[in-house]
Amino acid sequence: MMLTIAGRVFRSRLFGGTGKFSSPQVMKEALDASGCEMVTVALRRVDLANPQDDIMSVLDRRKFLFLPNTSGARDADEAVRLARLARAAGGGDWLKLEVTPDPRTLLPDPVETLKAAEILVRDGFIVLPYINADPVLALRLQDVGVAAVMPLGSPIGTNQGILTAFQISIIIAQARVPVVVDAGLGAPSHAAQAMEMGADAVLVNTAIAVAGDPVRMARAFAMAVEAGREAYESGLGEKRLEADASSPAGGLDFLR
Amino acid sequence: MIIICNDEKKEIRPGTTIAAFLKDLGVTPDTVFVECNGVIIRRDAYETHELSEGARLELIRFVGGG
Repeated sequence: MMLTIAGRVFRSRLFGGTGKFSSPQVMKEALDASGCEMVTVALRRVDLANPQDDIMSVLDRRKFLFLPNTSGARDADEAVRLARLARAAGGGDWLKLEVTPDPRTLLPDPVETLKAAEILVRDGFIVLPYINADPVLALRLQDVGVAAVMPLGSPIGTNQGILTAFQISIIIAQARVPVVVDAGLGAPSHAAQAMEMGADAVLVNTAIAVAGDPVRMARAFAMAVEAGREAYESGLGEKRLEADASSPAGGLDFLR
Repeated sequence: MIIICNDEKKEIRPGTTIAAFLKDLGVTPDTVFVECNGVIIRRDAYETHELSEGARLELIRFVGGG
């Protein structure tokens, strides 16, 4: 079954980020190799010292759905302002809502995120909030009409993998909208783990962008996401405490 | 005359349009979003909107992010 968010069908369950790549060309090649159909972008002032530095000139908007983020916002007001600017700048209605007041942890502020989500949903945005893996908050956000929830595996850019597995399992079990595990996925195995747990998709930026070979790493993540999803849909065997022989227990009479 | 662009003073000729100003900077107008004195300028007005003395411009664009 294909993933649908806000009525839009995605063939790939891997979403990409566009930050931290060594060049726009490497980014383009990696995103092409990843097969992803949605990519995040940030909104910033033009760097007047380097005005030709422009990622949009290499990304094909017919190929990728842009998901502008509100990175840098420290409270709901800043997030709403960034969201409206992104829309005015031609970014469309899709929005990754993130409110991260503490630059050291970049952990999202749940109160401000909920407040901003209410305003932005009313404004007609398709809101995908980046949240800590808090099942109660995920439900509250669904109540105000977000299109998906994006719980973190571990803090942004840490490559620590899924440190929040227990909470993410609850979020998935309770979800009425797609669950996209975002942030901290440092290796393809982490992405596969999220998908095996039943996440609908994952978002990966740092692990691909900073890899020795981002294009091959993008491919590795794409395969891991596909493998994890295939495993989830196949139905994983239950974990047991006691051993359960794979070979028949009987038929050994000739030995005894 | 002087305008302020992203908090930097810039010297321009009177009658300079937003499109001409962006071209001088080497910025592609298609991917840049312009606020002039706090008001968002529609892209189809870049060719006709002339900058006035002391105008405060904000040039914003999408950049790489996660």
